[in-house]
Amino acid sequence: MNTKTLHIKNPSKALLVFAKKLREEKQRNKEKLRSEKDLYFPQK
Amino acid sequence: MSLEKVVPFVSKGGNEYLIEFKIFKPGIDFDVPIIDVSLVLVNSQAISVELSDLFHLSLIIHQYILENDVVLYYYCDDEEVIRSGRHKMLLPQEYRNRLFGHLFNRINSNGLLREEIVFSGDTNKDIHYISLITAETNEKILESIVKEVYKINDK
Repeated sequence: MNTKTLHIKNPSKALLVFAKKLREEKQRNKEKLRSEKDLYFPQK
Repeated sequence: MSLEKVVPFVSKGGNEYLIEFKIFKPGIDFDVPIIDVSLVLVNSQAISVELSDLFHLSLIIHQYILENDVVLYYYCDDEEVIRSGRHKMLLPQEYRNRLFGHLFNRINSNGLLREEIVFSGDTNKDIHYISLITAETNEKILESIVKEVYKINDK
């Protein structure tokens, strides 16, 4: 696989706010999945 | 076929994982859907994970890309994760990023492109790793996404 890297050092405040939103959304997704685990792995 | 789905996976040691593929709406429309992939350990039975399990997880993700014309988006979160040996020095998000790249390099992923995006701020919380993976035919879309990132950085 061909990989390219975009590395932004000292990102702007706007970019950090954007990235923070991405992190929060990921955390919400993971919490939601954990709360639904019994749907996919029913307790025996 | 729906682009959104959750795939359960049980490792050899009994760890239970969910892999979710979910449409991601960044507020900008691109020519193909952006799909957020999440990997969550929901029940831990074993401390370590075998390489064959990680390989299997990457195959599930790889198969999804082959079946769907999408850009796969993976945000490496900073939730604590077990890191052994020399990896203990890495931030959780950095470790996830390396692992993700390493796994895709091990499988036969010819015809795919990966754009790794890193933001290095002053604190550990301001260090972010993102991976975008898609078919080589979508190279222009990856370039468009990178341009949008630069635009946000220029605000």
